[in-house]
Amino acid sequence: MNNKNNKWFYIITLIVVTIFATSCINDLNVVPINPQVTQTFNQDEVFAKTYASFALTGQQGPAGNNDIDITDEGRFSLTRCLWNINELPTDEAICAWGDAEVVELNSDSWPSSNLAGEGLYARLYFVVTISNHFLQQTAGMTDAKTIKQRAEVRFLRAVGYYYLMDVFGNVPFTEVISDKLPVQMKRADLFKYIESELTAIEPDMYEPRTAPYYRLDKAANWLLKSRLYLNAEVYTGTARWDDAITYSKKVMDSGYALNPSYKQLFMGDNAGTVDGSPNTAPQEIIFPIAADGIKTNGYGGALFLIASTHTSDGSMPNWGSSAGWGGNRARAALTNKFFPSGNVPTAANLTVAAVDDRAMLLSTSRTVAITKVTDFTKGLSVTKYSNVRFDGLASHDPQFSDMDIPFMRASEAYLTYAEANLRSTNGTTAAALTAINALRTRAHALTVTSINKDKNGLDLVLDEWAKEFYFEGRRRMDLIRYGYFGGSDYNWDWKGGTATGTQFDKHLNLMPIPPGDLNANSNLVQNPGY
Amino acid sequence: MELLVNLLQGDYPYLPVYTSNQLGAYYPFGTTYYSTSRPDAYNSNLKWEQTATYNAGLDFGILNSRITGSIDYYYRNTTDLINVVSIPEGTNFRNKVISNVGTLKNSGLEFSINVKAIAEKDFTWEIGYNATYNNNKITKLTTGNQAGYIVPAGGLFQGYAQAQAVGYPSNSFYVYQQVYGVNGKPIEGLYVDRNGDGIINEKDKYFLHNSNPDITMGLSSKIIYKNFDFGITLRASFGNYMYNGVAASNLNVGSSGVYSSLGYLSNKVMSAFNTNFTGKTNDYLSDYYVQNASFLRCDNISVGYSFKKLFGVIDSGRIFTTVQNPFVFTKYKGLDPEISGGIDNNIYPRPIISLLGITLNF
Repeated sequence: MNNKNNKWFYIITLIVVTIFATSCINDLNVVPINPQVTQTFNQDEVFAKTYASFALTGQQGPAGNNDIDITDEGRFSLTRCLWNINELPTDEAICAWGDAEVVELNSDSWPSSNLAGEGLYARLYFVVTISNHFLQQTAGMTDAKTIKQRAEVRFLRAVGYYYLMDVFGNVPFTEVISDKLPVQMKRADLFKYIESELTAIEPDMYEPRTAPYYRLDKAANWLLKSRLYLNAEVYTGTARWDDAITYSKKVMDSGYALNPSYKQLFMGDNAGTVDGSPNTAPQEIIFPIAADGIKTNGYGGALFLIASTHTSDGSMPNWGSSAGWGGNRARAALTNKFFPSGNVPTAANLTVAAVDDRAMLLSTSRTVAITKVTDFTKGLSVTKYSNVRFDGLASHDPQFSDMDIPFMRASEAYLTYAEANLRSTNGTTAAALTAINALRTRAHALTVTSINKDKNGLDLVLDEWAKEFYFEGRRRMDLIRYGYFGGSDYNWDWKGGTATGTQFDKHLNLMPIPPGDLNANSNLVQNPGY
Repeated sequence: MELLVNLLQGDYPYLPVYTSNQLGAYYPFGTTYYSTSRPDAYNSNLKWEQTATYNAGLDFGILNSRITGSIDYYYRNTTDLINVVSIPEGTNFRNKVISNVGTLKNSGLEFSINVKAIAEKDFTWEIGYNATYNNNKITKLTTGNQAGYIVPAGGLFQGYAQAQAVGYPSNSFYVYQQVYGVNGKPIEGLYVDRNGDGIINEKDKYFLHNSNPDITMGLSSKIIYKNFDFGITLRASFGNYMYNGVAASNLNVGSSGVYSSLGYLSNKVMSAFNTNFTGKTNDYLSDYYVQNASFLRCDNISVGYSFKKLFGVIDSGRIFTTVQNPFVFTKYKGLDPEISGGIDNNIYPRPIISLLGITLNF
């Protein structure tokens, strides 16, 4: 290599090694200056939020500041998720929509996760956690106001755990908020916990019908207890029919009564005097979930019940809201409960033809049989829920609901009482008959003259559950208690996703624990079959 | 390459604060409507993400700088990665909380070279080429340590198509393994039971590729011959995969997907006819929708002609034409193989822009 080549071939090398680290400093940690955000516990406001966690999806109506992390706020409200899970897989309701969770629930075929299940789970744990927080913050306070508030918050938490137990079975349990992983509690142990909580808080709750409207009293406590006992065999393996009789009777004698008008229970002014209306529904509604078109509104609460069952194509009489989403309507199996003969006349209101005020079905431009799941006009429309006021005044908002959700109402006690009397060796058919006929009479339906303690008698009560409570978000529970859900040959149209009905597996009697929590909490084991 | 951070959880995710209600979110007792106050989820241990980078390189020039280039090795360690993760229910006020989830390692080699291939008076040709190899791996997850722990990522219209897990690249796809029929078409709802327990569930999902390319390359070339000039820029990316979210979210050609309950027919994509899925179960989480998005793209081509002294009034000028994005070669079945994060919900094609221009100087 000569100089010339060196000149041609000179090489510059540069080796740079740099090591640096970036890290922001504590100056960036600031305290809030936004007036919407505070760092102090406000007892009355957190108390109100605990109640609101059943009614609303966030801190802004109708949407925009969600309480939980989920893709679509209104689609995954507590009401809508609970309703979908308890109605769509049953003989009562079917939905036209293509949402994944709806398609799966319609056809009794969900995999190890279902979005409605995930939404409900997160909403219920929000209820549990905000309740735990309120109770931790007010621990040790003994003034009269706080004692009442604490009892009600414990009740709301018990309702939260009740639905977790009913829908998911074995779920993580905690009464405090800490980093410690909650342990999974067996369904039967959760039953005991809820039972003991209800007993413990009863003395501190308002006497029946003495609380300000929307706050809960002892009748709510007894009604939840009667529901717990009615389903005790499902939850624990041991039946508690006599306890179901005791507590349902307490509700029947509590001062709450069957409202003479069934229709009033589901109208825009169903808060009665609180709404400035002569509507007398509050005498029956033990746990109203509040809604107001302006002040307490959202897409996933009462509006869901009204809008999802109505359609804006002009085929339905005014329901007091501009929203008609055309989704949920009656399966033929439900229609047949009111028309056992199969002859369904064409009318916008079938209460007269059915001789039953509860048959709030519309058959004009509808078919009874569901030839296509995705067509809203296949299957009768349910006109039960409405934003129209009984007193004829205008509702507060042209779209959002003034109708409160009648989440628990006294007539449940009558059917619990009837069924438990038929099932218990200590019960009497006379008591059962009286309770059923109380509901029949209120509905201006024919009364039942005799009933036996046998399958026919119990099936009559199950049909009565459907006629009284269809589309109120409880059917799944009743079918499971009767052994008529997963693994049963009790049939209905589109059961299991086929037009004539197909059996589905028993593991679907529980919803799967959501994968997100299974992944995050190593204490959890998935329900069998998933 | 950082995990996508979505700060949805207010301005003070590290402090216990309460959020007051706004309009429409009051709650009544009796006839009085009360304000409400919501305790927000928080993470008092939340820290800033930190990155330490080490690199070593060599720059060189040979043949009188006719050929110059560099080689660079780098190692980047990012700790306290921030992500929004599912937390155990009951331990906080929300189902998901922003957290420091783990540690990510990136290492790789960058190479570039510029060549002046021809440098004559009337004829020059310059070529530039660069290539990067990158290796990316999650080395630690701190929010959970049990076997099989993952942090879901890549949120879809519902559910997640990606996950972070130790030992895997960030944003790896985490999906079900599709079973295909004899005709080569996927069978709806049928997946490989990977753990062999007889049930198809979350535990049968598996990691498959990721959205980060293994190798990226760029090539640019410029030729000037007398008054003519010609330039081209090419870019390539290999080993990057994409979840075809447009195809997945429109897969349902069953009656629940096609008929709207409001009485009209819904739009679908043509690719839905390749699968004929009817939206019965979680079809959209099939690995069928994870597609190779490697590509070679031409960013632009330009041709020009320069001239001087025209008609006695024009001093100088140039007439040229440029085409941006003239072509892309890819196997990917969506509209565009370049979507950051690897979840493709894009329904707008990238335009091809042609330009014809004249520059005149007086």
